[in-house]
Amino acid sequence: MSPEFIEKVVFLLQKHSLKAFEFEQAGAFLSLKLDAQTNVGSIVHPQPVEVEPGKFIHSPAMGVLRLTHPQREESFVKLGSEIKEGQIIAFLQNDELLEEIKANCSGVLVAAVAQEGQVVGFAQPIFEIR
Amino acid sequence: MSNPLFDSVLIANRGEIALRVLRAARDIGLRTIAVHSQADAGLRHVALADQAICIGPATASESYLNSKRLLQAAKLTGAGAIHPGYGFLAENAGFAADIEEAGLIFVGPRSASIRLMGDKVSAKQAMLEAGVPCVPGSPGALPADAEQVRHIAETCGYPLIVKASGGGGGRGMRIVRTPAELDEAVAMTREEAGRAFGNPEVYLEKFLEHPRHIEIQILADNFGNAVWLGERDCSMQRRHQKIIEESPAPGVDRDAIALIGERCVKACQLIGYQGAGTFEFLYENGEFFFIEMNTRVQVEHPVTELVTGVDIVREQLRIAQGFPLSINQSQITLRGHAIECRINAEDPFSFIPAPGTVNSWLPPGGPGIRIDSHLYSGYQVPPHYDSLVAKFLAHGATREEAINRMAGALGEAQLTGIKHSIPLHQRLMSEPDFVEGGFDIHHLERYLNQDQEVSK
Repeated sequence: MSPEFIEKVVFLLQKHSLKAFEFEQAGAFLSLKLDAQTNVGSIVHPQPVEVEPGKFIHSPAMGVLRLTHPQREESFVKLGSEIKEGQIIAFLQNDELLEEIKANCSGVLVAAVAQEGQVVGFAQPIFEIR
Repeated sequence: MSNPLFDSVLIANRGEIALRVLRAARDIGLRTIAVHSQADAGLRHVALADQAICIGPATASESYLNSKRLLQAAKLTGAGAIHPGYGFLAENAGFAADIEEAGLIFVGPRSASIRLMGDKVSAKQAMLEAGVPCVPGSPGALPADAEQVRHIAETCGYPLIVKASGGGGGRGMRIVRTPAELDEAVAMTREEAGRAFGNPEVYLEKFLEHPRHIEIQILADNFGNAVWLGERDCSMQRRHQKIIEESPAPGVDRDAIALIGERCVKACQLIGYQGAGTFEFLYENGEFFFIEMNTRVQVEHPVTELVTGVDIVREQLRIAQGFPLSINQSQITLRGHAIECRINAEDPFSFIPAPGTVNSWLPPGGPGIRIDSHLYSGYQVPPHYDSLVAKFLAHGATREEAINRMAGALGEAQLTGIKHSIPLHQRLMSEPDFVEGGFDIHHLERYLNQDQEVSK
């Protein structure tokens, strides 16, 4: 997924007045949303995408991050999926104790900033959401 | 003792002391773990530690003062020991006990020692047993019988001070200079104490008018070995906060200090003390009076490190690891003279804290200069904690040389963006009474008051 590719996508989105684009390939995920105010006609040279800054879901406490419940195989949420505020998206483990991590807002999960099994601190970003 | 009791240490503190502990731990090959509040992610030692974890919000009660969170962090990071630094939970017996219970090592004395020395009455008793002199006074509340009170007063000596047992913070006390004033002073203080504190109990103590603050640094291991590492004179104070410390104490008889040092060592052995500690004394007319013991490393410990060459924090860590002291008493000598100036982020003359962003920081250097600081250009001094941002230390062959080097270092330092106390120290380095040495603990406040009078 090269910068040229992203530029080309943005150009095409603008050309066809499309507002959003999502693309997944070999574990990489790209989500583009164009600002509604973008003046389509005036853009001659497509600029690198200025996506709105992402919101983060932070860890509510310290613990070992569990993206998958120890008794299940699938992770709670997948990148690219739509999540709702209050939805459980992961767990924090301290000894045998599991503490829920809930989404503090709704949106699309665009990136995982912490890994399964990682020790995370208080208020550490876990997921980026848009 | 072949195997150390731990190979990783969690530093349960912040600022310059966290950096100091990190350096000592790193030097002996320990894995270092930094814990920090949300306001402290930018601290220097957090960047240098092998592992760092945010434990809570800026409020100290939810971070550095939170025993549960610190232990949780220790568990998650696999820390074998916890170094408390100074302040926060360093002298909290409950915290030390929690760590012991969790099967981890507290870098300091056992919780029982902290508890014993944390209580004024039991500490004083332990010191008297070890032959350490305390402020003379009535053993407890004064008896009702006036004759008996007069007898106690005679034994204690004049001037003395009558204090309400339920008082504190300068309230409910009366200075008595002659025997003729005694009866009335006791009666009046009792009456006031009954009204103000609901407790008419009073006791008396010898009143020291011009004491100096002199303290003895000790180190003790788990094998009954203990040493004293000379003294520090910390008489330059404002509102009980030390501002300048030095070693040795100017003009005090070396034999008298040695006698006190030996008694402190004996006290450590008597109470089974382990780790670093400081016995604080008031000193007046050639006599020492024990006031309290600090069961932790102190802010001013580098003063002693400069004159003795002993790395106190390294010794603390090694003692906690289960090793015997690496030095014995005969190897400890004081070489030259060392001075420390505490640099706070505050207005140098009104002392109002001044947190903010450091624009530039260029620490001084050169022979005999040591700077312990977590500052860097761009660092933000948060408003939530103690305002100490740097310790300037100067060592010289003589006190005069140390003062000259300190004055040079203070002038050379560049610290912009925040207000700080360097200008105050610059003035003090040429203040005649400081230069002469031997001033009492009220000196700085008198000097600052005079200054205000002049500027009016």
